[in-house]
Amino acid sequence: MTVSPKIEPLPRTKAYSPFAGLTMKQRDNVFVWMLVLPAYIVLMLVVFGPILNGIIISFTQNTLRTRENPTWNSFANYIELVESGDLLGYITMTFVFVGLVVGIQFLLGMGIALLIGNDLPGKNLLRGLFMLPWTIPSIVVAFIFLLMLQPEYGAINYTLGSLGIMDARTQWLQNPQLALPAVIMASVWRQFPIMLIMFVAGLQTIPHDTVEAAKIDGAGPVAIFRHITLPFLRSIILINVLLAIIRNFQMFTIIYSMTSGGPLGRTTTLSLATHFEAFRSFDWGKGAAIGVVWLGILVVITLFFNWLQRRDPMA
Amino acid sequence: MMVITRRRQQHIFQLTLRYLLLLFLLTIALFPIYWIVVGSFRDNSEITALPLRFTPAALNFDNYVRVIENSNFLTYYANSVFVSATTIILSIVISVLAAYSFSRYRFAGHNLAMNGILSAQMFPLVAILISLFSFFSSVKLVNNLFGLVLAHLTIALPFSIWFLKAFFDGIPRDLEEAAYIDGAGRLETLIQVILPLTRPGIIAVGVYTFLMSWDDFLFSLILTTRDEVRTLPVGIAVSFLGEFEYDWAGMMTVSVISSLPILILFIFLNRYMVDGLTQGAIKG
Repeated sequence: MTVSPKIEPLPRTKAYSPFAGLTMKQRDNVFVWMLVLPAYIVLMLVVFGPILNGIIISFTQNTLRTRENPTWNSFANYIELVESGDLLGYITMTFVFVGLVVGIQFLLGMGIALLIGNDLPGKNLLRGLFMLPWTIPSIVVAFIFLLMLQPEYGAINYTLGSLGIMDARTQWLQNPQLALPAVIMASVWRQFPIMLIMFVAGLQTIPHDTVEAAKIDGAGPVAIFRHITLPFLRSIILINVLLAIIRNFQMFTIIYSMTSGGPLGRTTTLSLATHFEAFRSFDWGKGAAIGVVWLGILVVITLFFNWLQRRDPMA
Repeated sequence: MMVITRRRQQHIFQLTLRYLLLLFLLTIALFPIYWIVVGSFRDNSEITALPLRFTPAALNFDNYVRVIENSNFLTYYANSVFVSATTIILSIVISVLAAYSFSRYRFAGHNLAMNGILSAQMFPLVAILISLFSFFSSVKLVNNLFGLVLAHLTIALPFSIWFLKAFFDGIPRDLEEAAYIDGAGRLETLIQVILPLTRPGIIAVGVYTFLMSWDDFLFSLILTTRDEVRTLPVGIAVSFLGEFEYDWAGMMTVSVISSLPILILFIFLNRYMVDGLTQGAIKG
């Protein structure tokens, strides 16, 4: 931001103003509320209203038959979900999916960022090229991985098969053990560029002198990474890991289009489960209840990250 | 002398190793994109032919002609363009106004509102959709492109407001003071003095909103049921998935056409996007 603005003389305040009788402070207030009102209205209508309403719905019996006149059934939806064991299944599936997707993209993003480093000639071009997967729409990601994982002529299968690593003709998406790795692969591919650019940008904030001084003191690459890079990147890492966790709890498109939550529910995460309950079984009460549990989990995770963030890393 | 050359050698060796590793990773990372493009120029018998040919395909636009002539694709495309464009404009206007007041003024409920907006990002979208769907049904916004715009604002606004606030925070207040002394009103000052300085931030928010809106699948899946109002992602999913035999050539072709707008935007606005996004994250 080095551009200096040209401030042209502006016309004097008009003689008549609807706010003429107000003090400066009051005018400030009117101005502020006019500015934030559109945002408040939209967010109330489409975010906060629906989420509050959703919490209420989760305590009602609200299925196709009772839609017109839902009745309060307190914790019945939750109890049913817990007792059937479904909820635990969804939560476990979500944790495995989110944990692996975020963990792998963290390692990939950090690894590539370190390889690119601060000084590599052609750094910007490389960063730009690595970002390309991020520009591909999720539905297209699902399409291309469906093709590449096709058992006979899918490129991934074919390559792994010719290298003798895997049985060619592996049915990825029909195999309960391999469907989850398949959707994880596709999700990681689209998301790792975000981590990567954040870490590349973060690495630039590390003062060169500090690294040089450590090198002179005989610190090896591992020691530099542990004692300089990681502490410097700490807050960037925390924010981005948290955002990635939240994003992947929401993940819908890729899983839905590749496996529809199958086979045998082995890829049914909370977000797919909510969708199936609410929009396939039309049980809004149960769907909303899953959503509330999901929100609760995210609140706890966010608080945990806030706590980590506030804790002094040097102490 | 010896030491210096050895060190140089070591440096060159290291550099080569890094490039080779990066090249290897880049090849894997970009292969799927290459494969989409290759697929779009082959017909289905070529795509499924064994052994696989990894070499580029001859330029053959038959698939493109077929896809574009096919009934609904252009409708989906036009819907997506309309929804994204409208969402971008609304998102920029609303978030500029809100972010500016969050940055410059303190008012009752300031922190609560800011935290609320931030935390909105973690609300489960599918759960929001349950209530949103019944609300939209009652006000005739289901199967309505404006309904989709409104829904897409849900995803775009929290980030945009938060991001632009950080951006406004970086602009010195002296500028406004000076403008006020010259007799400019508050809105004039915002539009004529501050906004021109926010251009990179506004572009970043616009691009981000575009990515979100263009990519959205979930809202469109629930809030539209008729082909005339479907957007691209759900449109092509409905057309191509669920077939017994996949039309890979068609899928790869619509994939190329759907990815093109973002790709072009990215090539031209790459710097704004990268700087914008990373600055926000590092400052925040």
